[in-house]
Amino acid sequence: MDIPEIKNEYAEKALWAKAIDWALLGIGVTFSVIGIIFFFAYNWADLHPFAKLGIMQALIILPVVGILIFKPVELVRRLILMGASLLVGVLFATFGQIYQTGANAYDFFLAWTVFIALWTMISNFAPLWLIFLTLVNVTIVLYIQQVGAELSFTATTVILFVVNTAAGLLFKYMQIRNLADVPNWIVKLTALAATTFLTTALSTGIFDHYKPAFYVALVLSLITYIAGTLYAFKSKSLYLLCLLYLSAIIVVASAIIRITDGVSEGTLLLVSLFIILSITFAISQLIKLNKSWNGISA
Amino acid sequence: MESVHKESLGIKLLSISGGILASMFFIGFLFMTVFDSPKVMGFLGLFILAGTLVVDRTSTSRVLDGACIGATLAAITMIGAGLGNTTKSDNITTLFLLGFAIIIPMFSRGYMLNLIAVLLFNGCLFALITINKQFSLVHLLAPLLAAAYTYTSLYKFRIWRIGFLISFIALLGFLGIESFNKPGYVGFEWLSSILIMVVAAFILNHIIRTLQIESQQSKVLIYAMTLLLMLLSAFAPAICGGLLILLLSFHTNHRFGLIIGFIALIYFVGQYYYNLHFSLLIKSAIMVATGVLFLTAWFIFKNTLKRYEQN
Repeated sequence: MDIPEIKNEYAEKALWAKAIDWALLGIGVTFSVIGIIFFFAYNWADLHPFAKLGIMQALIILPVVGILIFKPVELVRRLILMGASLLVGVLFATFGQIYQTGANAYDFFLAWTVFIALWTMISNFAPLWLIFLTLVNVTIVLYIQQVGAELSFTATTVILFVVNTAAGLLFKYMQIRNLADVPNWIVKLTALAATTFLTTALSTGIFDHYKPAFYVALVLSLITYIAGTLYAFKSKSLYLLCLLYLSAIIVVASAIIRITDGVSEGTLLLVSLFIILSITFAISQLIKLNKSWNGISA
Repeated sequence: MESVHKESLGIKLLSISGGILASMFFIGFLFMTVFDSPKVMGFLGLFILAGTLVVDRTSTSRVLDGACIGATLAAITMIGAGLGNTTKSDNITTLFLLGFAIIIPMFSRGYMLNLIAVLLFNGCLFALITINKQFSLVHLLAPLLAAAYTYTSLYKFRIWRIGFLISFIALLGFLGIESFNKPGYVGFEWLSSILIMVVAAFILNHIIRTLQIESQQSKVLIYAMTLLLMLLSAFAPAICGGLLILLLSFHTNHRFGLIIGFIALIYFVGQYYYNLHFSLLIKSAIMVATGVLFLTAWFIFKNTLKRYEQN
């Protein structure tokens, strides 16, 4: 008995053949490589330090030299560069393990960040930019925690907001000017990261007895919300508007809890009603905007 | 058109996150107010759920989507807490929640409410197994979820597909936990794998019919290779399940399933090798041997596959 089907688009033979081809090759190579890594891991303790460092360095240098000599296709070159960048971190970790230098995690991440900066700049590859930005963020946090002046959590998140906003603006500038292949996802991701840090800075600053960093965050947030909203309207970006609006709601909700001095039944009801009403208002306006910009009622 | 679709995703995310945020605070308020009266909590939850279903059925406004999601989560939590405190029986509470999970899709056309209902339904089934300590039934639940995911992907009720996919992956993750040594569970992993392979065979049959593969030799090769691959991981049902998800998602061009299935499979394979009680040397040998096997298969079928790619 034939069960009635929903009309579907199914993968065709050519696509299956391509997928199986890549899958067999990819799985074969991956398992073989990991097996070799496991073999080295088994013998790792018995290897001479020079051999350990030599292997790691060879894994970085040989593929990069290979790019220069064999000139593979663009994607392969970028992937090799990204792999080499990740292995730089493994190399430094190996160095630290062998010689027990007693260095801070900050030193490790700083060195890793500095040593892949050049490759990141020339790679024209968004995933590598993302790895680099992540390393920059981690280095900053570790600097503040382990080496630098004792800054509050609010101050730390303000710094991270500034760094990620700068990165996002740079990516957007490069995209507009066509200076590199900048995909939309990395611009949106950095915008999300920057907004998250700003929201966190304001919310924690509210509960942290309004330290000086909170006022810096407040000024920056006003500039960001105004400039961000104007730019969102200019570029017809609903995503940015949604981000800014959600951030504002969370901050105001935090302020309500702070003002009412704690978590009581009344506070919780007030906050939930505020969120429902503001989200409802926001969505109704955004749907109208979407309709006027794109002719769609979302 | 693609950017328009993506832009409205921002509105969807705003409504969902706003709804969940609002419901968290509302649940907190209700718990603080009526926590001492479980019956009041239960009836209030029932009332809110009924109201949400009416609003969802009668209104097409996207504005209310977020509020409905939040209200449903709040209502289910309150009903569960109310029933739990009143009946003092986990079984009765779970059975009632199971009933609500069946009722919600009867009245709701909304995507999110149906997703919540499917997740609640599967969660209740799992809860009943663990409450009554019938852990061997987990090995029947996994293939059941596989079958449900397959049916909703290929035939009807597409709205429930992602719910069953998420539930299936969650259960596969649970099946991969090594330290879970409950009686009736350990030693029967092969049962899950075999039954999942039966579902996979059904999917292969659908693929063969769709691609109109007539040659008997090709059909035998497809069944043999796929099921042999799954048989190699007979004691790791999570890997069998991951392969099934990839197979079905690729066949139906379901990108979300493909991505989440791929990530899940990598995790399950890694977890399997991590849990193997062998030295690194033996694990190394197993992995290299597996790699060589796949590379040999690639080499053998390379020309045949290229022929199909070019057609």
